[in-house]
Amino acid sequence: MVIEEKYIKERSYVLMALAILYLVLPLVFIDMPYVIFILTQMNFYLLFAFAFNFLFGLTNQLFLSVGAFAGIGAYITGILLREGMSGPVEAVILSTLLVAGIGYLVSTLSVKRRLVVIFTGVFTLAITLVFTNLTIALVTITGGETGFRIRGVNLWILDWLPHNIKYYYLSSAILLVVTILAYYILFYTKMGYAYQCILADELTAELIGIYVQRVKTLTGLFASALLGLSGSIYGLFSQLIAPSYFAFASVDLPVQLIVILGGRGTLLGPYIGAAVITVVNELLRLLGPLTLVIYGVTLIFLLAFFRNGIIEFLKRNLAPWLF
Amino acid sequence: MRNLLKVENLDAGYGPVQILWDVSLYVDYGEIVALLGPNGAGKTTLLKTIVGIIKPKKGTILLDNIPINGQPCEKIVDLGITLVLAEKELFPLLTVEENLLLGAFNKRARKRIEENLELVYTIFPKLKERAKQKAGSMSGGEQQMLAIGRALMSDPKLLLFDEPSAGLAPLYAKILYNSLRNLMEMKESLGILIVEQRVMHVEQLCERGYIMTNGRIVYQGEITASSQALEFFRKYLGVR
Amino acid sequence: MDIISLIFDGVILGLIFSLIASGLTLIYGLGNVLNLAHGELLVLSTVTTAVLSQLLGLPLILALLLGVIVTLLASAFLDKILLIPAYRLVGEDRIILGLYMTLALAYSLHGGLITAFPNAYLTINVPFFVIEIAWITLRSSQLIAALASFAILVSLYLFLKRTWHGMAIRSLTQNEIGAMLVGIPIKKYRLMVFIIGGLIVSLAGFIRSVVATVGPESGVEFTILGLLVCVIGGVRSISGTIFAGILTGLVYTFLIAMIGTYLAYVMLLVFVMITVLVRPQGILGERW
Repeated sequence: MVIEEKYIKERSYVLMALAILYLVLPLVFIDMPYVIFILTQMNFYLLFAFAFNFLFGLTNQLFLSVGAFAGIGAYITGILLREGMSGPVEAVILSTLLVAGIGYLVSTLSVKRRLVVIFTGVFTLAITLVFTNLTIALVTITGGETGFRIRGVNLWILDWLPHNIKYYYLSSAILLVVTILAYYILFYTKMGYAYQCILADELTAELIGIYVQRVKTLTGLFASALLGLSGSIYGLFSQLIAPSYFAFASVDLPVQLIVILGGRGTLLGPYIGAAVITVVNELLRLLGPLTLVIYGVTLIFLLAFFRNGIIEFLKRNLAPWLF
Repeated sequence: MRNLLKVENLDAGYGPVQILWDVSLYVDYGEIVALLGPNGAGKTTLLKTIVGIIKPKKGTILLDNIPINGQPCEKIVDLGITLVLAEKELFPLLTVEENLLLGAFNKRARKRIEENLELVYTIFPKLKERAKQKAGSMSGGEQQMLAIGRALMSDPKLLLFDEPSAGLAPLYAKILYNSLRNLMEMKESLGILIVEQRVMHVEQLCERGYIMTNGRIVYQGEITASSQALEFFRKYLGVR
Repeated sequence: MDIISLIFDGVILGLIFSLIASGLTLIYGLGNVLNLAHGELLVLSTVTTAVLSQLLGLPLILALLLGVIVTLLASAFLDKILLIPAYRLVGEDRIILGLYMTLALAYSLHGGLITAFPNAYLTINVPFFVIEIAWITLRSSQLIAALASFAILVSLYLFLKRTWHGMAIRSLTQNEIGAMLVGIPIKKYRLMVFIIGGLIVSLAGFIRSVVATVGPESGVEFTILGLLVCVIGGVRSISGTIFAGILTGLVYTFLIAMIGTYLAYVMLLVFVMITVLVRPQGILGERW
């Protein structure tokens, strides 16, 4: 069953082009490891943005704890490896499951108590603050504000590749799998149909028999799992796990910018958003706190004129097959 | 001839959706006029447009021969039109008295706040009993009384009622209509436009009225048990 | 005595919380906008005052006045210009857009202030004296801070409860349509509420700088604390927020003394999370 027959061809082309682009890109910059580093960094932020997009863009759950969830994943994995308590695969799996569980709990509580968007936001913001404060305060376990280092993680087959490229392909693989999976679900399954209904009007969706609660909590579960997974691998990639890497300003703010700039609820949106934000970020790195000013002003203009993001704008005026 | 309220060729709606099509009616001083029609006919929209919550696209609304179409709601209330909606729209965390006092918010009404409060407490003694009670904790009938009392506090020249008997037990509805009749006797130049769905309620109260369907006036004239109105209702709308 | 001193510090902190949070509640209750730039408005005042009095040598009173005026202008800008796109929407859409707009402004202000005026720390030194009643010792700074905040809060309370403007504001937070029907102009009072909120929060900043130094980077901290108190007192309840502020200040001060800043903050956060789940209307219940 296909929900939207119209643009299958164009959309499949886009997906294939995306996959090829990702495969080939690092080869172009093979002797500029810094660029590869930036690209990998962008991939991880893309993964975070995807999770936020599913939560907020599709089901209106304002999770202001994206950085915190990724951070929990990173810290769990990091600590397990540091203490020698497990190998990398088990650590990552455990982190993913744990964060998935936390996210599921938050989603369920939020849905059961019928929290409006703003309360979910406050609730998850509190989680972020708890995370930041605990990771700084519990110095013996977490290494406090400076964090701790992870080195020499064994990744078998990929190990002969340089560090950056290793994690580039790993993150790209996860990213593409997630994108294709999401694409399939959104356009080929009943679940996808449910998402589009909920996006249009939650109350009506409920009235026509969609289990909105279940859709929301399942989204919470899987989006959080994604955060736990990408967060823990991000920790392995950065080789330094510190509170500042997962703070609200470091993760949540750029992620929100990416999603809003690209287009809430779209699949290609985060890609465009991430590309723009990464470029802007690099250009602005020299400006220090002034970056915040530019981010802030940019966000204001975006919200005022392009509330629905670039993809929506392009969709309306140029290419209706965008998704 | 000067009418209290004169609506001429009114077009109005919500955004791109037009609800009212070329609506015209009038209310005279000292008259209670009925506006009847089935659900979705546009009656509430018409009332909201008269009071300024909705801006008309075309047409004129005259109060006392002064054009008020396009004016902001607070100005129209100040000029003397007050609307009571079916949902009552009270302030639940404020007391009965505070709700009433707020009714007199507009400049004109503030000058006569004490005498109007007296008047309201005379017509609705129950409200005086419960003056210090929070409005949200009262029963439906009492809230309806409070809504009307609050409307009276605004020293209106024209009162608009949107289905005032909706959700009221028949006893309360009777009390309600009696109070309206008393009110008309006390204030001779007051005009009332009542929206109801059923003729039954208003035939004792109103002599004249209009019937609306699909955003248009389809009948104007007598509203009594034996009149053409009932025939009309029965034939075209299947309603009693 | 140690405990008495803690109580005073707690009450003073709480009063400052109340001042900050009450503005947030007013703006949210009336405009349906969660003003995440509220703490920055406070810092805007203190930075302006610091710069004018320290850098330019203006007399303190003048600097304070100009500090307030800058924040009032910023508040008016927020309502009349920045939030125009938000006011075109209703309900949840408006809350979300308003939240993001004010958040974006907060980031701009924060970045701008710490870049342009990184050393603009404000400390207001009041003539020093000590009052001793029985075994209680009060410093003049504590006394002045407490009396000033108390006076402002009482004035706010009386304004809301007894004046026509105050009643109009309270009614608008409870039922916007009802207020319209009664002839209350929404936009006028919305602007008024932003201005009042801005005024109170800048005064809160000055009061704070009497007992502790306020720096240009503190905006975020004030916003978050204000938001937390708002939730505890009921995000739509002005009287609830005023009382919750004092309560929170007291408990928070004691917690810090007992288990340290970080853990006390964590406990406060957990308490807020529980409140959101169990009693979202505020711990003091449904009230105006």
